[in-house]
Amino acid sequence: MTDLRVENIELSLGAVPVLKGATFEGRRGEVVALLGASGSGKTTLLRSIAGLEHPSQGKIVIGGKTVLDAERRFSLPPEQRDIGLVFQSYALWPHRTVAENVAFGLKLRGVAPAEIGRRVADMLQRLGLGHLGERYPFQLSGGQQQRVAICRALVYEPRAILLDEPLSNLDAKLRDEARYFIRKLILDLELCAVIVTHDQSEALAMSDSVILLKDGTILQEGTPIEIYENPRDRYVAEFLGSNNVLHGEARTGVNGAISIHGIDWQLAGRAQDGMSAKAAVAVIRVDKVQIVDGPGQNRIPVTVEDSIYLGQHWEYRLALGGAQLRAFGSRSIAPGPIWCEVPADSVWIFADRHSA
Amino acid sequence: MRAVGDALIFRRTTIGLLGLLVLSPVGLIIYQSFLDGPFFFPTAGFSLSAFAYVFSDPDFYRALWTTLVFAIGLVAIAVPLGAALAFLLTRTDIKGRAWIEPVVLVPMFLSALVLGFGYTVSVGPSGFVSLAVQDVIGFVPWNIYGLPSLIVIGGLSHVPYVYLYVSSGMRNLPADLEEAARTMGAGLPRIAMEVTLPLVLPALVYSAALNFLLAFESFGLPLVLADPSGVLVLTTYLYKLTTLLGVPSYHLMAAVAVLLLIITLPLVAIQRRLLDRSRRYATVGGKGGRPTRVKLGTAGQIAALSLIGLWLLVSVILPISGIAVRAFVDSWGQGVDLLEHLTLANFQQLFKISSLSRGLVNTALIAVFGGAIAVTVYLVVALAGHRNTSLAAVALDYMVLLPRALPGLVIGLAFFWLFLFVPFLSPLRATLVSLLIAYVVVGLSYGLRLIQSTLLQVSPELEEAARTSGASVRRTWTEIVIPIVRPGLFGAWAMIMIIFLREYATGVYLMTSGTEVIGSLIVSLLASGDLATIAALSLISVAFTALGLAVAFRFGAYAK
Amino acid sequence: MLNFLKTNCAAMAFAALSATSALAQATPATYPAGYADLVAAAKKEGKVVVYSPTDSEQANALINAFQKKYPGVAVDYNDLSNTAIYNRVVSEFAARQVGGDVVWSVGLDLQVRLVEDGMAERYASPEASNLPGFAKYKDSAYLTSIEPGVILYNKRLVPAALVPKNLADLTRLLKEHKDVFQGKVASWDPEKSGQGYVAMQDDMRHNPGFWPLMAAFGEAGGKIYSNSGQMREKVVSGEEVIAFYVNGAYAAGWAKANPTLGIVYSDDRTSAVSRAALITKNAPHPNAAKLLIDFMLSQEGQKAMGGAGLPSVRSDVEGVPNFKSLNELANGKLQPIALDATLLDNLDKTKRADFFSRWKQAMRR
Repeated sequence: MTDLRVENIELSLGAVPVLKGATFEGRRGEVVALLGASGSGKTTLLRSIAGLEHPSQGKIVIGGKTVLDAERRFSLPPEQRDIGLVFQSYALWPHRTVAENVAFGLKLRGVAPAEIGRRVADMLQRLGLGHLGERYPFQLSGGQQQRVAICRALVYEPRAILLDEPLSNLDAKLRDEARYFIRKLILDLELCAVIVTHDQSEALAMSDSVILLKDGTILQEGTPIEIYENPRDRYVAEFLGSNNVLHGEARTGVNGAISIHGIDWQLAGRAQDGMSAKAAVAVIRVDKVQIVDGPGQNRIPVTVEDSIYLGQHWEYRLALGGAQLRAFGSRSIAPGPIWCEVPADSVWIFADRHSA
Repeated sequence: MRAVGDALIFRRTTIGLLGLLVLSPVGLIIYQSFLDGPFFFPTAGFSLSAFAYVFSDPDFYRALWTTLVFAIGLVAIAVPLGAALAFLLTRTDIKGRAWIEPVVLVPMFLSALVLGFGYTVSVGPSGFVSLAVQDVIGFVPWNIYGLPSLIVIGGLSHVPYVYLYVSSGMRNLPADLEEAARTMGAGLPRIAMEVTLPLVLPALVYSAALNFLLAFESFGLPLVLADPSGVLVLTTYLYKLTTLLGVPSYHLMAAVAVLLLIITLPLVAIQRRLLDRSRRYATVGGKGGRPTRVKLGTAGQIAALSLIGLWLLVSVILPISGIAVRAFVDSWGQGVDLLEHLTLANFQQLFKISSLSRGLVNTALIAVFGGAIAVTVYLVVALAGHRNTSLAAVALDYMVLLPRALPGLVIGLAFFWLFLFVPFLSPLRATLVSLLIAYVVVGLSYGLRLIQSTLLQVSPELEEAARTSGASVRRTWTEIVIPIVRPGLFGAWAMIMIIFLREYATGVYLMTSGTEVIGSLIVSLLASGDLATIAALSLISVAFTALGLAVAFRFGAYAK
Repeated sequence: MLNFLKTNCAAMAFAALSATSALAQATPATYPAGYADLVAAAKKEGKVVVYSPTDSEQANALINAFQKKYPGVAVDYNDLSNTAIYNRVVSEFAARQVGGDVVWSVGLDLQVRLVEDGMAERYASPEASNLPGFAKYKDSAYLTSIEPGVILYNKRLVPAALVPKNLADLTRLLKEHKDVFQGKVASWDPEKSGQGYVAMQDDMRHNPGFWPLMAAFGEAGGKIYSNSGQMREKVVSGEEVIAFYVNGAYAAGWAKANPTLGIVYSDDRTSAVSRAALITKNAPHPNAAKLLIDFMLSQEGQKAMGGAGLPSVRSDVEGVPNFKSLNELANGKLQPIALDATLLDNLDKTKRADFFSRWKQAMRR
């Protein structure tokens, strides 16, 4: 069942369009990640769902209830949308204890005091905060504060839970832990969750569906695997993973097979965006490039300029004409000419709009 | 589009009511300026004669020019001194910071009238300090009457305004900027001139603009120090118009007030824009520990402390000791041994004469309770404009500036008329309520700014978190915002108390038997010349102010 | 809160009311037969509101005496400047919110103006017959005191030989003894003080030496003030050594209290200002106002004020300074300013402007 539907949201700040028609859905027991660089509009989209921003166009339905319908000039204030929002800064109220912070949403909903006490204690217990109820936020560590913020947003069982960069204020180790426990919690509670992040691994690890935004537009939406392994847009391809980019000319063979051609090289690949332009660009994940001894199918001649030790593996700096390539391997290679191979379905060819 | 439930009704009603409160007196004055007689005379008609009179009066141009010279001179003295003081107290390891910091602000909180009066007693031609100097060197090397001394005293007494803004800018500067300069071998003056000061340039420019404006509004000091020698500034020129034609010439006063409005309003607007900019600038550094302080060394300590000591001597000790001395003697001056004339009669007078003792009680009431009511009003208005970007909020911003740009005397007169001619208001005229309303309007721009900046300290996310948890705007304010800013509100209360304590011009026309307040009593006593009583009242008002300041510092409120 | 804020001036009245004894006031024989009715009506009104610039110290003497005689009538005394009084009276009249019953002011020109503009109630006081002719105007306004303009000087700083005997003498001394007087002479600022303006206008009309005096005053770097109290303060301290046209009613008291001060009544002509009292049109407490006016002009009231430093306008009030005793001090040359229509000239815009420009020229301003 669809618990959240966002349709064609448009929003401008002054003359600057921030969102240009975003549409997506979220279901119960599912995590949607809004992924994008800063300025992509992902936080604005989240805040629009929460009712903290006021889109000029579009419609938002939460749990079957229309909370925004710009056409009818209808918009519910945040408090009537039945959502929970976890802020990047956690936004814990400094003048209330942990328990009071968590209890506030229940109190507003007119829950009986005894019931409030029980549910708050349950929720704190569940997130391992049972002993901290009487403390004030400033007496807690960052990780504890984050969990309090989550408790506060979940305790009254909202129809949708929104998380704005919930992990960005945690250090690396805590972050890996939190990723897992937050996802598990959401699935356990069968919530409809939307998470905003600029960190691709966070998006991939936590969500069932990733939405990648750029300049207020959704470029691609799909499962983490789809979006990582089959990007339909050059920006999406480059945003995720670690990539090589080669410029060249696209040619279509008689059988419809597509390839990209440089001055003294060529690679067969996959057209990802139904490209029609001649000027093309190939995006190749660094880990898909293999160093090989000699020429062959989908192999190109390169010059090794340097080998850099990275611990897990070596990174090779390769020159292809004027272009630079990177590849990984398990040993050091002396500088000099060599070949490398890329499987055709890992050569993603897009129209090169910049050089056209 | 705006979400429903954004307390729109509350916001619009509040801003509308405030508009009524502010625009009715201002509108009345503007209306009056285009008449040829008091607006309540049936014979009064539309005319530009008031402006024609003012524009053909050489005294007006003289007053305008004097005001300009005074303002420039005041800025030229106050800004460098204030900046130096701010640098010494925030960026160096000067000794005695703990007690210097609060004392430095004192001149700002003294009523200018009281200040000026204090100077005449201590360093006037027969002041006790002047006479002591005369005994030693045979003559008095200064004359406190006239434009030069007005500029010097005005400049020195406005140093705190500069200090306040520049020091808050400097506090936010990360110390490594200065440390970087030191590692390159720059000495203390170079660091101050080339690193610290340029970084707080916006605050400097802002405080210069503010002081320029304050100089235009200044009334008490010119009245006491320049008037006797015939030097007029715009505010004293306006005051003179009340008697010049024998019958009070309101249309002339109103015309001058409107001209003042036209001159100062752009200044106020510029000043606000500068403030926003300087805030933005000053918060760049923000985080990080306490700045490490530049070491002054022994010679530096002595030089810095003597500079501050000298300034405090001139701007605090001289006037206050003047008031204190005058309050306890019945005669003073050449050939008078003050010890022989010690008396408590001046204070006994306060309790013998009912209007004076009532004045003390009323002043305390209006400062303490009125201050609390004012803070509540400002809080409500501030909330109405809080996180509100609509046109009404912009209107609010500018509306607040209007009463600021008019002399308190004129605002008081306008309120006197309103309470007289508006039927449902007239029962309030003889109560402190009328005075309080006028005070609230006069203190609006300062008080509102104080509260607004306190509210802005609450991160917007704390409010949004409440909204998304299900709290309405009202509950967000009552349960989250107000509890968080409570200490700030207490601080604001103390500051407003001090502002109300020192206010004098507003009540001149408005006060009546039973609603006397110290400040306006001093003005009316000044008219009848009872200086002994003025001194006693002034001393009590200084004591009240000190008390208020102590409370303000207790709550850590700096005026902003 | 509102109750708390409300004027507490009535408290005094309640206290007085409770002490009321139905004493039969001794009314003079000259009073009309029905006077007891007036007193009864006044008591019913319970209070009388006074607007006056008179210092509370002097005013209190009058108020206390009045309340001793009429315990049922409280006096609500508003200490205001001359122009503030005029402002309040005309504004209240226009707003039909008249609050003041009795206006008692030194701004004689403004008082005559109020009568002429119909803002004063006609009341023929039974005491009027005891007043000299110059002290009454159209059965509406009455002078209550006589306050000569005197020369006030600092005895320590002005040698006995250089104490002027009159204004002409002062003119000469100012020119001849710059070592003593230069930069240390004070007088009124007629632009700011209504009282000073009235006094100077009168002197200008009657004293041919007026403009030479102003010229000498300007030449001597004279300083101007808007009230007698300031001049007193300056002369006491030695900041100024001499001041002229100072209100002699106050000055006499100051000189008595402070041996540093000396006063001189000009022996060729001493003009005198006064305080005029009138009842406002539509006064809220008209009977109490009449009672107060009568009391102010009566032997009793004049004596009370005289005791506190406001000399009696009558000549038959014993034991306090009165018109007769002051006239003796002034060498028989006391010339009080009459309460009449010539005072309206003072408010003529062109005449004012002319006077100020000539005065400024003389003062080199």
